[in-house]
Amino acid sequence: MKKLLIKEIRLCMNAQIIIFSLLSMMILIPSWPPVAALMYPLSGTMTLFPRALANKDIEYTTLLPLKKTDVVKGKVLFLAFIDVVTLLLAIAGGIVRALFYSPAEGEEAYFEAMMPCISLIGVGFLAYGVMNFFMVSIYYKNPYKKLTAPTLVSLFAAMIIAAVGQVVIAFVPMLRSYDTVGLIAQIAVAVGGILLFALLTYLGYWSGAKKFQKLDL
Amino acid sequence: MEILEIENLAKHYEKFDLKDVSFKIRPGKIVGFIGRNGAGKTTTLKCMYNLVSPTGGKILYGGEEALKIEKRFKQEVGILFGESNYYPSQTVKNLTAVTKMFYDDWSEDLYRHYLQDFGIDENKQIKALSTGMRVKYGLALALSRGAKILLLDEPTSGLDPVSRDELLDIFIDLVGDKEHAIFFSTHVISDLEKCADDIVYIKNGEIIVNEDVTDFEASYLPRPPRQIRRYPSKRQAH
Repeated sequence: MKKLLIKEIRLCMNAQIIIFSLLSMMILIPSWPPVAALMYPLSGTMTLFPRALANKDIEYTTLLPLKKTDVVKGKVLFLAFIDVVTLLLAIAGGIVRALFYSPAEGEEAYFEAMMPCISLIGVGFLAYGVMNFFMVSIYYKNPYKKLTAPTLVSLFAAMIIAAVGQVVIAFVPMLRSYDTVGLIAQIAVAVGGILLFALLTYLGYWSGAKKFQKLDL
Repeated sequence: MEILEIENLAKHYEKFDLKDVSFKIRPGKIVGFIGRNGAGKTTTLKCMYNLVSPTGGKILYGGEEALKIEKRFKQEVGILFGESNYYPSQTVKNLTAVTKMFYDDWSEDLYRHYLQDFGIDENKQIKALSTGMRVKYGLALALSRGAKILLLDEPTSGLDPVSRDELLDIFIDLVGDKEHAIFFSTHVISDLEKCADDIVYIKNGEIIVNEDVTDFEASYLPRPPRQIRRYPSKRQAH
């Protein structure tokens, strides 16, 4: 696993992924819904697959002393790695925004509703998990033909989850409050999101690997 | 002991069938795999390396099914398809650094030797290498990884005659220890005459010949010189 991830980082990392991941720091823009900043990095992640095709990554990896399904595993590990780094950056930015920003006059309600909170971590992880699941499970059915469909489906699914999550947090004060009940609810949402991220990413790998195993290269 | 055994390998496509392909690759042998374009050479090689799922038959390595020991099989059996043109924007140095992580028996000395021998500049990008140099780079990687068997798909294509001869000499040296074996597909009959011990000839997805090179030469190669039909020029004809 470690070697696979090193291979992905050394060969597949590109400037677009880094730049778009850094855009998660746009969470610092005061008037923006924080979840919007989590959507920009997806554009970088999506460059991973067409670039891999152009670089003949599948052909290269299948010739290494690995299982055929490790082609999928490597890419999923790299996706998860980018997701986690991106969300950690967003969390850092979110903490800064939550601690140091104050509302403009007359915008207190909006400011409070849009304040980055612990629940948002769960929403972010869930959205990324959904994206990984759809992207990997559909793409590896036939990587040479299917690129547009998994890209669109996974992006829209992730955006819908993120948007719904943001709206629910905005309309349910408990999910952004820091009293005992609110804190428990927020931590539950965050942990739930992280667990679902892990589960969905694994299911994406499992489904993609199963399809890829049958594929004639 | 047979080290790599292909038993009744079959693959069905809509317009092509690979049928009952069987042969053995023994230690210390160079096996030439010949056939016309589209005869099934690459499909056979891909089936052997689990790049294509066969619809029938077995690939046995040391008596075990290759698919069940896929990682060990790929560690000990190397494959090379033509030129190495993966990650064209990467430098030779970086691609090698990543590739060698995966091989337990990687020989850095051997790799350095081949780089120097083939005149490959490791600071160049893959795309900056000529086709012939990319073939040589792929061979340097394949030869340095400590594989016991090398499966090579037209390794001499794109090479100049001198490099081709050098490569065939390397093949002969490699199998000289009786522990290695090479299986290579080619269109060039002179390559086979120079180094092959056995010949496997495939036609329309079926193995037509699987025999010692001397028997093959006796049966197939010495043909009477082809009659060149000379047509009169238009002026002569009139």
